[in-house]
Order: sequence, then C-alpha cells, then structure tokens
Amino acid sequence: MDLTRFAGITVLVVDENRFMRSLVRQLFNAVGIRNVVEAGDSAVALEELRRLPVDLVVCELELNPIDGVEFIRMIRTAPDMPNPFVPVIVLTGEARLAKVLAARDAGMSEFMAKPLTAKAFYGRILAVFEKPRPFVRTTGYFGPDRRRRETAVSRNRRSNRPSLISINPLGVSR
Amino acid sequence: MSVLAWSESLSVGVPVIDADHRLLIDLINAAGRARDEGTGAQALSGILFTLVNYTVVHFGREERLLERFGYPQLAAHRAEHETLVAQLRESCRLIEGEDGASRIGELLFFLKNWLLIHIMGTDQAYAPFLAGHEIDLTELDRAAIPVAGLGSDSGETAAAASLGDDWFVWNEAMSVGVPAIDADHRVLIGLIRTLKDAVEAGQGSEVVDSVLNALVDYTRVHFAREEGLMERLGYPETGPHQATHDLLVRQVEGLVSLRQPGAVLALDREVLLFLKHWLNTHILGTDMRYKDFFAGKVVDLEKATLEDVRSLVAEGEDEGLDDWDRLYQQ
Repeated sequence: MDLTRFAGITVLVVDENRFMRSLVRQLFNAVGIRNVVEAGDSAVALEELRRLPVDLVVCELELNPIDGVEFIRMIRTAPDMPNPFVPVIVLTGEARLAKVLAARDAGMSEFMAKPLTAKAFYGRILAVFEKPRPFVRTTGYFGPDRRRRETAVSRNRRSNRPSLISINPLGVSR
Repeated sequence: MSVLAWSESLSVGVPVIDADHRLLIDLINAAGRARDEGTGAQALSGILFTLVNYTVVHFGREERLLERFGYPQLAAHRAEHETLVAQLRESCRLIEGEDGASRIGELLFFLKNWLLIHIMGTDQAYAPFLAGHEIDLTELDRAAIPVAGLGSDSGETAAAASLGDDWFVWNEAMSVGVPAIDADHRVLIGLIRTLKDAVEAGQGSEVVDSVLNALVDYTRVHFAREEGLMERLGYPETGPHQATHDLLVRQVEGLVSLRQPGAVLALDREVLLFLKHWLNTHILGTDMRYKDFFAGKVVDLEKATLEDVRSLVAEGEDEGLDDWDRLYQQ
C-alpha cells in the first residue's frame, strides 16, 4: 500500500502531559504526517472532534474531566460525534488491567503502554492503516472487532451474531 | 569484581565534584556487574564507552572549576587527566579490535584503581585550596560549570541548557545539502530538545523514557536511511561513517541500560549533553564530509514516511505477543 497518501490525515492527540503530546506530534511529523491537533483534556478533545474531520485519535486513559474510557465510548456512540468509526489508539501509563479492558470494551482500536518506543508506536499506526479491524455492532457493543486479527473462531459459536460493518475508517481510498 | 563504595573519605568538599565521582563509581560498578553477570558484550561496551565519555566530561568540569579559582597546580592536574584520557582512548581502540572482550576486565581494574588513587591523592590536594575561598561551594550547581572536554570549543555550557529556546536548534550551517537528511536531523534535534524540557521539568520515567526510546529508535531509522544513501551513491567513506553510527548506538544503549530500576537518574542530564554534543559534532564534522560528494549526484532520498519505519517495526516481531495480544489473552 502506498502510505504517502496518509500524509494528509488529521490526528488528534489527547494527553494531559504536554511533553507526551509534543513527543507524539514529533513522531507523526517525522514520517510526514503534519496535521496534528493536541488536546490537554477530554472536553477540549470532544470539541475538536466535533469541529474537525479527525482521522485518528491517540489518547491516554487518565483524562479529565471525562475519563478516558468514557471518552472512547462517547466517540463511538454519542449522537453528536461525526465519525464513530475513527480509529482510537490508547497510549497509557495506566497499569490496571481492568481499566484497559474497559477501554477495549468501550471501543479502542489499538493499545500501547508507556513508556512508548517508536517501534511500538509506528507498529500501531501501521496496524490501524493497513489492518483495520472491521467494526461490529452487537446489543452491548459498537466498535472494532475485539477478537485477535485473523483468528479462526467459528462464527456459529456466537449466539448474539454481530453485524459486520464494512467500512474504511480513515476514509482514504486504497 | 569487588564493588567500589563511596565514602566520606573520598569527598573533596565540593558537592558537584563529589556527585561526579559517585556517578563514575556507579558506572564502574555497573560495568563490573554487567561483566560478572555475563551481560551481552554490546551492552557492556556501551557502559564502558559511557564511562570513558563521562570521565572526560567530568575532567572538563573539574578543570573549569579549578581554572575559575586560579588553582596553582592546575597544569599538573590537567596533565594527569590528559594522560589518563589518552590511555582510555587507546584502551577503547583495543576493545574495539579483535580479542577486545578479554581486555575489558583489565580496563575496569585499571580504571577503578586509577580513580581511587586520583580522587584520594591529586583531587584531595585541591580541597584545602578551594575551601579557602569565600564562595559557598555547596551552592555550585553542576549545571553552572561548563562541560568541556568532549572536544567542544564552542563554549557551550550546561548552564546554557536552561537558557531556553536557542539551546539546540537546527540552522543553515548544519545543512548537508540533502533536504531529506536535513529533515531527519531536525527531527532528532527536536527530540533532544523535548528530552531536555522533560528532564528539566522533572518528569518521571514514563515521559523521559518515552522520549529517550523514541530518540534511540528514530536515530536508528535515520542512520539506516543515511547509510543506504551512502552505499547507493558509492560514497568512499561509508565504512568509517557507519562505524561512528554503530559506536553511538552502542553507547546510547549502554546509557539506557543503566536507566533500569535503581538507575542513576543523575545520568539524564549527562545523556542529554552527550547526545546533543554528539549530534552537533557529528553533523558538523562527519556528515559534512559527504556534502560535496553528494552535491554532484542525483540524490534519491525523500523525506521519511511510514515506509521508512517499517523495518524498525518488523524488527524482532517474532519475539512474542504484542500488547494487544497480551491484553486479549486476559
């Protein structure tokens, strides 16, 4: 895939720590992705999501005034969110597994732990661009398919069969 | 190797210098431990080169301090430093060569003894001299003492690190005539600046290590791009240039390995100054050597894209599960 076409996307970085935001911005800039918008709290971030055509979100889970997990759930389900399909990469220092699992169940797309490495960071970005998870809608969940990529799980196993939604989350033609 | 312990008897009465000595002792102990535990040769030589570099940094700092107060025996003291630095450089050269690993123990032993004798003898000699000055030595900040000795004559000081925006900026004089390489250099300089800001703001390991990791990773991406270009265009000095890259990666890996739990946090600032100095002299020196060579060629290097980080991402991918997999298995 020609990745240069992603150079024009808009990324929203949400983290209370300005050094982390600056670092993430620089890592995007380094590979030619220049439209990076920073938000120091989740309220500003939601405002930006309403205002701008954001193609990718990178966020902490420790957020105020709305907690990171709830922030992700809002992106996916709030009626005033223009793009519920936007990929959300969680970059967090959160150590409690329960919280990270909650973020997964709220609809995060990818996850990485702090301290980050550029290897892990770019790995998640590439995964989002090249192997986007299909979105599913069940009675209790809307978001990227939470199962492992390419795992052979019998679909009949599920009683509550999800409707697979074929989308192109980044809206980039390929 | 027996562990070298700091004690008050080693104090020269100048807290900044004592702090340097403690750090050197920590580094010697870390190197000894790495050797005893059979840590990889790469990490060990990284620590060793850090030790040697830091020794040079420390000597520069100490000499500037003595110079400031007009210490009468400075010339002799400096000569002693210079002799050791020359010996260390020679040892590093030997360690780089064949059978180098077998010489590491020898070097460590030598350095440990040299340092003890030097601190307890030559350094103690200036303690009463400095004590006779009216300045409060405890007020001296290590950051306020210029760091020389790595070959810098630009008069840059650690104090300048606090001076703000123009601390380390890319400028036209740093251009190697290849826009894509200049862009990489600007990225690296930007990350070093962020590292400085984070360290100065007292940020914890989550942030500082993130920046450091990113800096190390992106440095490798940049080196690979630059080396690829040099090879494609048949640059005659590719080999030696590459060797300086390899050495830096080892040194930085050594530094980073020291930042594990129980790490020497005082090292952050030194890492910073080391990286800044290294990059500055590397761009202005080693990189500039290819400027004229590239000038007459068709240079096929674009600014970095995600394609350039693909090999970084793919490295060691089979070593295990990624974060998501681990998460999903819960």
